[in-house]
Amino acid sequence: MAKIVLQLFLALSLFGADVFVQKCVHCHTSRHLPLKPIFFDYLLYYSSERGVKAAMLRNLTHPDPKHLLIKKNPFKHHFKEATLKKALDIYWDKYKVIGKIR
Amino acid sequence: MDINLPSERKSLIKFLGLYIFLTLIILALASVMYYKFEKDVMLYAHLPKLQEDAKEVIHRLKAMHESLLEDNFYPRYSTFKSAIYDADYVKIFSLLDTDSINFKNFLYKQGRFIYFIKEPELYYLGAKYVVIQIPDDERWLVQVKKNLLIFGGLFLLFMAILGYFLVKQFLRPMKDSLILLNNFIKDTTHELNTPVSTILANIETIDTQSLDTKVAKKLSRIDIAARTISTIYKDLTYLLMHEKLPSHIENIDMNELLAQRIQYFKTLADSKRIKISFLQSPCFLRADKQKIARLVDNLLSNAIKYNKVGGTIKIKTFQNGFYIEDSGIGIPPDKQKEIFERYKRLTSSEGGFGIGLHIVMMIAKEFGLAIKIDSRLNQYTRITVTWQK
Repeated sequence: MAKIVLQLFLALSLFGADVFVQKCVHCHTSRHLPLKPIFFDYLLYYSSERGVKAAMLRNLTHPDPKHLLIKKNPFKHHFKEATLKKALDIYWDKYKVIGKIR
Repeated sequence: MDINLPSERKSLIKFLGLYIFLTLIILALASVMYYKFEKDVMLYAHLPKLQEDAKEVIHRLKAMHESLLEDNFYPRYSTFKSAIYDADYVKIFSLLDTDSINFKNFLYKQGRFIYFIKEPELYYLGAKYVVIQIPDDERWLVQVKKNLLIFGGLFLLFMAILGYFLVKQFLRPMKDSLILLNNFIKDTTHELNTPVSTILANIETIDTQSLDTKVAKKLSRIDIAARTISTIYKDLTYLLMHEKLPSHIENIDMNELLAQRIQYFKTLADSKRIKISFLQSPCFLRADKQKIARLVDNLLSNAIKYNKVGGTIKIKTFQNGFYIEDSGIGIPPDKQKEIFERYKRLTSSEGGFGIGLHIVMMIAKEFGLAIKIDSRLNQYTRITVTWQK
């Protein structure tokens, strides 16, 4: 039983990771738009996890040049909001600074 | 003018108490304001250095941010400690001794540390708040406490002296009036004593047997009136002078004293056809005879005054006490505690000032006598006086 639960958990984790890798990393790599500097740019203006995620969600789903950090070529991401949120959670966990400063 | 009335002393103490209390409140408020002022002066004296420190930390954060945290070594300094918090007050990194930061104040003291919060223009590494902590040696606080103690003490002393003189000035008219009234009563009573004593002495020398019945009756009324005035005189003298009257303690034979006082009030009792019975057992008391006579006189006088015509008075002595019981109007239970108060009278139908039982209580207190009242309305009142062996 424990084995099945562990397998399910791993499957779900991999599926979550896939969302970010498939939907974000591949595309950004091909467009030469690395994700880490973007993350730090958002951090520079929105500071907290709540602020950064909210701003990213807004700019990805309803890009408005007034709010965008990268003004040129605004790009609307056509994802389901739930998928996008999941991807943003992984994105935050991957690059967040809390716990990485020594 | 050198008389210090007890009421004056009481008023003086009450006023000074209130005055000092209010002065202390003002002093406390002034102290708090002075402390806050001195604290602000101290904090703002540290401000330029704190701003410099914050600037250094932000500069380093900028470098870390621009390296995309490849360079992740947080700056450490020997003179201060720092921390960074995001816009939601979540700690990003901290070297501080506490996690409890007051984000409402940009500069404040907490415990033995001074805290300064700086908001950078851009949130490097997400840091909206850069907190700088430096130790406070509290030398300023020692100086503040010293000043408060010295100047507060001097201020309090000055206000107390001022208050004392002020209250003396305010109370002077009242004191003058009371002294005038006291002197008037003293002079009047003194002037009354000689003629009353003369009347009583002369009445005693008259042979009433040889007189006409009508004249003898009139003479008896004069005797009663003179004795009543004499009793009032003695009561007033006691009230005015009791603090200055020294007590001559002696072993009093209470049977002898009571018999004397019964004889003294006999004419008054006869006028109301009151029968006095006196049951004697050996009874002695160590006290001042004059004062105990005042106590007995007042009890006897009341027993006659509040008795009905043709009533009785039972007096009984026993070891360590005696009682005087009348067959008069009685005292309601709710009034039994009040009747010992000065100027308190049971009814206004009888004459008097309401000082008799107050004097009884004063004398009883002086010699440690216990007084018990047993009474039934319109039947009797028994006042029992007892003492320790």
